[in-house]
Amino acid sequence: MMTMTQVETTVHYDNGYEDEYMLQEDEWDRDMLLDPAWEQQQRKTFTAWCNSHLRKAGTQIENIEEDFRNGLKLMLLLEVISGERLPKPDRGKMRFHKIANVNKALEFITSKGVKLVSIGAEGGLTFRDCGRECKDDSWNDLDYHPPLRHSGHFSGRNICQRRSSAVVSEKDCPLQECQCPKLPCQDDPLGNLNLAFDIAEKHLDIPKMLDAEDIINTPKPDERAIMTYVSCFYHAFAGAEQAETAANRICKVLGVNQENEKMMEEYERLASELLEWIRRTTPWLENRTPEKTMAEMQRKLEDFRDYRRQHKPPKVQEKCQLEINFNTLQTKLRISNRPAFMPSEGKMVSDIASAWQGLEQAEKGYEEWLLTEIRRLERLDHLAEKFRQKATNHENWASGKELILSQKDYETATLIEIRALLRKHEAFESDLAAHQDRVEQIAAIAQELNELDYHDVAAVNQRCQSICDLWDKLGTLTQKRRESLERTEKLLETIDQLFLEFAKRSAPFNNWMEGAMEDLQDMFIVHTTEEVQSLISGSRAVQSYST
Amino acid sequence: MGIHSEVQKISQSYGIKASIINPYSTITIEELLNKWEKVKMLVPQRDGALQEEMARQHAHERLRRQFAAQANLIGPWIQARMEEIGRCSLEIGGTLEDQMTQLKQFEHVIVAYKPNIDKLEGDHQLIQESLVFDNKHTNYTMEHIRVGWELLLTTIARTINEIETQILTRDAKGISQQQMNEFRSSFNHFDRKKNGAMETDDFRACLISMGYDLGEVEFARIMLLVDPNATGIVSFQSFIDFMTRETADTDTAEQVVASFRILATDKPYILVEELRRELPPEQAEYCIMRMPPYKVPGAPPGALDYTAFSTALYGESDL
Repeated sequence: MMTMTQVETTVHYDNGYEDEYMLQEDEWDRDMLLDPAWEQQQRKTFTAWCNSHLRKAGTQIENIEEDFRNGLKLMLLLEVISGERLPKPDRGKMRFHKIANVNKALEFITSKGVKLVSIGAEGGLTFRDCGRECKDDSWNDLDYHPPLRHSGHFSGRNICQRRSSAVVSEKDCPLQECQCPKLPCQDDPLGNLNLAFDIAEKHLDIPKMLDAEDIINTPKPDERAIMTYVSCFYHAFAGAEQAETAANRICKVLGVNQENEKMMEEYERLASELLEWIRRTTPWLENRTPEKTMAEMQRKLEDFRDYRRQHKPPKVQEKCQLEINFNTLQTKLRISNRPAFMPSEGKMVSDIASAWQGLEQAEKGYEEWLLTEIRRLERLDHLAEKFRQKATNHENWASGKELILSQKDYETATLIEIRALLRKHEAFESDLAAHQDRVEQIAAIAQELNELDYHDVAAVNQRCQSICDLWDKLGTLTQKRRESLERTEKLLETIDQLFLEFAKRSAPFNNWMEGAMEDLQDMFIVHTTEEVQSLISGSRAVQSYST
Repeated sequence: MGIHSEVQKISQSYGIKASIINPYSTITIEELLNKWEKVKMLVPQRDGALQEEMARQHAHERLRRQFAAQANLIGPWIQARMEEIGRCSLEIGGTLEDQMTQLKQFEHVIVAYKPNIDKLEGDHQLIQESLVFDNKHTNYTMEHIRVGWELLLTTIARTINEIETQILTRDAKGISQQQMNEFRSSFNHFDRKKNGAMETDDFRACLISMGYDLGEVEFARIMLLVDPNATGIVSFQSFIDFMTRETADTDTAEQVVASFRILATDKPYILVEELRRELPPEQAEYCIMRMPPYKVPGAPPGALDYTAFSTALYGESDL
């Protein structure tokens, strides 16, 4: 169906005409034709009918002969009735232009299968053919039921079957039935007819082409006039039906659109939510600041397990659902000949896929990191405890040793005591040697604690350092003491030796002196000088002895 | 000990009263005795600690074995389901509805299997809480199983959706089951890697085999139609769409414009009252909201351009 507005607004009609038309009719009842009343009725009906159609093209005719002369309005009428485009009219004012246009119209009519009864452009058109024109499709189908329209204008009116015979013979009732079945069938044909005509004009936009009184009073009302009028009903309802179909089609299309739009909104919403969740969660997985204690790390591991078991699976499902929705939507769009759905910036399938990939990447590293950390902390706890134990043991052992080693007890000891001290010192030295291993172990543990980045490594180092320092000191002191002891021993041994020597020598000398003393003090009785002489030499010997 | 008792004996028998302190040693016999007692006590203690540890390690081993036994069952089960789904979607015989029924069955079986996964997670939790970080009895880690499970769920959902869209397409375009089977067999033939999708080269080979003689530009245009997201693969769905693009019986923009024209009684614009009169309220408001004004001089105010609206619906223009 084509719009006619453009033709309409630019064409101006020329009402003057050069020739007279002559109506030629062949096969009709001559008496009817010659009846001016009939002719008048026909003319009226026909004009009204033409106008009801021409109104859609935005024009009207006043006078059949004049206004159809140049063929333009005729062509318009035909276009409106048939819904087809006719070849372009000639715009000239010359007669042959007009003839050409009317011929175009006539050709069109012929092409529709309407037999033209002795018509030429130089003649005119008969009413009959126009009647035929509107009858052609519809008349075959009088059992047709035009549907109710949406707008409810005809609510309550049922449209009943029209029987072709009924139209002709029982003019009032069928017309009336067609319009208001609910109204009681009054015994007032004139009133009914007028009511029918009024309603038709008001609601169906069908002009009054007939005169109620004429119809009632004429014994044989003009069949064709009535058919023309009734055909307008058909067209009105068919038009309504067409409008109905059009409205239905539009509703269907819009329905599809609305459904698609809903799906698009749903997609956008789900996509936003998912992306938001990914945005929130990824940093949590990327955060690798270690905790100090194992308990805290284990809690983190537990959180991760919860994430993997409870929080992530629904999101996996959401992502899958999103993809599925997207695919279904695109399919539906394709099927209904709509353009493909293009999600908004940042929410395309590729965006979501790459965000998800980022999430999974962060996830993968996270659990590994957690486990490594926990292992590290486990070892550190163990080592730290070990260190503490060993260090404490050592410190206990070492406490007081310094003091002992610094004793100067050897200064007042006897040789026997020194020897005892030395024995004790030997024992201590072997003890010390045995502890060397342990100190090395402690140092090694401290080293490992450093390497594994123990959180309290400073305290450990300090303690280790003091142990080592003390150890060195003990070593030095031990050495010194040994030296002192040995030295003292030596000295005391020397003294001892000397004492021994003294003892060795002093005893006999003592004895001799005792003897000498006795001798020197001996009572001597001498009788001769020789006896005194020997005594003097004896004491001189003692003298020399004493020097 | 022996020495000490010797000393004792001698001192006693010879009546040496002086307190006998060994000058050579600082270690007294009492100390020795004390320490000996302590050592004697510590031995069973250590033994006990080691036994406990042994028990713990045994328990860990049990956990490992339990996990492994489960995982070694679940892993292959998931694999088998994946293969089943793959086979089902490549099938040629049978209708789409048959395929759908089978897939739904698979889905049911898979969903019913979930408790096994949960139990495995429970075992895994115990293992991690006991600080056991390795398991030589199985190659599957919990993460492997999780990923496999998620993939399985996703795959079955996707595959079901594929069949759904194929059904939609088939019904909309009136493709017969036989035609579907033919499409399927062509597709499978050219899907060299047998993974349910044709790559660009596969598709090119397919088109050539059908008699299309395409230049690069033309082929690129078709690829754009068939793979608008530039993923590099052509799915079965896109393939069918391409092959049946001429057979759709759909609304077109012209038809919608024509429908509006009827309602507008042949005017090129439509009025708000007409929309309200001819369409149900929801649809009327929808149109009133979306239609651009008809901007041609001489048109009454409030006239709406239904042509532009309709063509925009079909992507033939922008609103």
